[in-house]
Amino acid sequence: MEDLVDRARRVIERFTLKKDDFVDVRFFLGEATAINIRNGAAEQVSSESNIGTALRALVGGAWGFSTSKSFEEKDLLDAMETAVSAARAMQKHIGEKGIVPDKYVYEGSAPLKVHVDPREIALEDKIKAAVELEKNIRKVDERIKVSQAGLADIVQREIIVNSLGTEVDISNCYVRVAGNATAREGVVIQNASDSVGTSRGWETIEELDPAEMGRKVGSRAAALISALSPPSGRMNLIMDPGLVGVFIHEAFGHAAEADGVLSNMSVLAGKIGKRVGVLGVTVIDDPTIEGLRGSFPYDSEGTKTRRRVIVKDGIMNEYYQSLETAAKMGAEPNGAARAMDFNWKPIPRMGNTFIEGGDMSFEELCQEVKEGIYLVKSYGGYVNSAIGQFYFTAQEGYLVKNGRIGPMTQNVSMSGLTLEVLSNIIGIGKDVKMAFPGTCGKAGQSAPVSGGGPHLAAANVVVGGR
Amino acid sequence: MKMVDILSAARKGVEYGLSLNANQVEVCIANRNQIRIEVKKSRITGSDILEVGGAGVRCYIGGALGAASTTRLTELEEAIEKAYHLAKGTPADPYFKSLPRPSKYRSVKGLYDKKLAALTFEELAERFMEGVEAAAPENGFTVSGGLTRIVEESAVVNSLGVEALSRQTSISGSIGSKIERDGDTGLGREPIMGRDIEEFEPIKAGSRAAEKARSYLGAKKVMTGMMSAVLDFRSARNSLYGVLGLGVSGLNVALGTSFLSDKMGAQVASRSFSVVDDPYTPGGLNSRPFDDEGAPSTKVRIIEGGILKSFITDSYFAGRLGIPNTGHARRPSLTLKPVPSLTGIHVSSGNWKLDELISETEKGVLLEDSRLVPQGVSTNVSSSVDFGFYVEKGEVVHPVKNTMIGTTVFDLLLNIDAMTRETLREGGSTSPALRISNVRVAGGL
Repeated sequence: MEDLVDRARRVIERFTLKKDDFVDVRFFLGEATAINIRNGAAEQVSSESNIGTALRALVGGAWGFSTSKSFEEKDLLDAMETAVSAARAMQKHIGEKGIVPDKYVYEGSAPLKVHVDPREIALEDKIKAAVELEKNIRKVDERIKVSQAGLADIVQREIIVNSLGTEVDISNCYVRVAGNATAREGVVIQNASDSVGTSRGWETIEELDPAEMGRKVGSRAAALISALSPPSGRMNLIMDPGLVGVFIHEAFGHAAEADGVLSNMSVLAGKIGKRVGVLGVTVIDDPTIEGLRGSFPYDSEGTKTRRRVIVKDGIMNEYYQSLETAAKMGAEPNGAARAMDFNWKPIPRMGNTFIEGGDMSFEELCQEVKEGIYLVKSYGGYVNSAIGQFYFTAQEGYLVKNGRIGPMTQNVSMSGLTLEVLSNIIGIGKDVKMAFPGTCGKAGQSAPVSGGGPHLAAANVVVGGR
Repeated sequence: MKMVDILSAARKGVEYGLSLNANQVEVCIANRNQIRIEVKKSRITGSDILEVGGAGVRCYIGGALGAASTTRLTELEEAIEKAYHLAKGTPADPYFKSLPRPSKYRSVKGLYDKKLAALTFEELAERFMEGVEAAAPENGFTVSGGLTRIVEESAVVNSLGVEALSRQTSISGSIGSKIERDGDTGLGREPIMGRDIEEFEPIKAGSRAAEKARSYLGAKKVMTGMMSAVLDFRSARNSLYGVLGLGVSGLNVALGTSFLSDKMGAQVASRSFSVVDDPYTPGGLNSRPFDDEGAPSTKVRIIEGGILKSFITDSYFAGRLGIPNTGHARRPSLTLKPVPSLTGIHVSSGNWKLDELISETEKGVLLEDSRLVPQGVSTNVSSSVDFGFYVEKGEVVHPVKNTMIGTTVFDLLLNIDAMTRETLREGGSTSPALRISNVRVAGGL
């Protein structure tokens, strides 16, 4: 750390910066292994080394960005020269000048916080864990044509040094195991999956019950074969905590990212202090909760993370901020600037997003919905924040008839409008669970996130069955 | 690093892998010069100038595969050692036969354009800004977008003698134009894609984005019901790419999860429907003389007159299915093993004009820039209409919002009841607009 920080400092000092100019150097060291077992065979066992340096320059209000695969001082100087030149060349095209506030300077170190470092685990033990899960999926039902188990561990270190004095050294670990089953009978093909993902170490896998996880995934895929076709139209629904996680991420989280708000590409622009949902709806994003997949102590600009209250009792409260977006909005940076690796710039995005619990039981939610559908587990979704229209998918559903859970339905997707959806919530359960460990995609970058909440009932959601 | 250097580095890597006692070795090196320009609120915020890429290695010991990648070519030997050790600790895959053997390659025109490669980031920015200005023809418009120019050299070398080198240019991105008027919002987005400087037409893209934004003002919810879906050129191409990509991929066929796996020779689409995949399409974004394993590309007739004719394979799934390797391997990343993927689809045209097709539609939704695809390998299609219009009695009535379409992959192909004469040739694919009867439209009314 000392050596690289000193090197970054020397690079930064070689560039004469005027008032309001800014540069930073971010060293990135990523190591990953991944194992994929399919139908009893080792489909892929791989190792990835992702190492390089990201260099940003804000000169005369314009940004330049460059990278180097090297940590050598000479190469860093060349890359910074490129970033500065790129910024200078863009100055005539910029509108509102880029700014970075000089009052937020962070120093800190967050070493890897795991009980068992996945890099210390023998390959054969990793393969064994994946094989065990895959085997348990496969044996559930002979209609399962594909059983698949994936296991991945990633250890990343970022050392961030900037011209304002920030010096931060952080390490993160992400472990994820996923099971997937595809069942087929005649022309009907159905799929079910589940995953566990954390920012903890190999203990994630040690605590897993592969027999139970495998059995559940396999059983769900087999059951979906004979499930009903999903319904179609506007209806009331209940979402399970995993689906709530995806729903709040897509329906609301992306639109609350300050870069979209500032560029007039979010329907939540100008909504701070205004009502966006019913009383009782509170949306939190907290990357400081230890162990969740979307947890990280400092962001990729070196800002210390904190709990963010995005919506407080139905009122829009804050956006996801980077150093620059916070300065432009007169807000505080809240540690939301994340970069996938050294080839990408940090951008505002989510961590662990959830809806706070209410006071209704699951049975009460069913009574509230009366006629509709209960949807379970998600494959993900996407949103167009500029017009506030989002889409997300459920792996399976159950009809709700006369306030009771009825027969199972196959996978289906939903669509809604950001500015309507939190106002259409008609019931909030009390059983909060961070049930969706996922990967978020934005502007070409992916980031580990999680989402969740309690069971939630909403009215007038468009369900796209057939 | 120049082409000759990456070829030499890949050769050395293969030799090193063999010296460790691997049975088969493949080294793939990509060296990419990338410029990215970002526009927010109608102005450029900055630019990125990047050297990206690295090396991917596959080592086989018997049928056991170890794979590794590194961003640093200086660490290629370490990556090869890692791949070798992973292979040593991995159970053999009984289906693995062999990496591809050397073949002669045909050339493909239009993959590299010197003029596009020579554009500086200042010149790219100047030209892109002309498009941004065109996307905001009057007050009330906000423009966002991004542009990426890539100059890439890559090499695939394996221990059986394959040596494949390529050099490519590409330009890609989009211009998004948003208009706000009387509390209403319309958003239009237009892609930029190509391999040649002639295809870089930002003014055309910006103007079209603004037109689209205006046309989406006044979007309304629709009633739920059975009706037709009219897919514009891009929606048709995107949907067919997705549906056929799942159905004819040797991966899904081998696993028994393709909806087309037992349909060879059967009627799977309407009789007027034919499609070929042609990796030799000049200037196609996925065109190439060889695939990501160095196997020669082949043109494949996929569906002819509605009858399923072929699947696509890579070396692994060709061996597993016992059918020829069509050279469709595509590696999702340098680390991951390739899978069979479509390159450039060319869909037969019909006899309709688009406006005739709409005027003959009693009730339906016209999709623009949307995509009807299943979730994973499921046979159910449940997709959002990202941009579209409600059609009634042959007239486009209004843009729609909060609308979903539900059907199945079978019905999507079999219920194509009209295709246009005119086609869109873009990015190496060709597609008409088409109409699918009897889809379930779910609306918010």
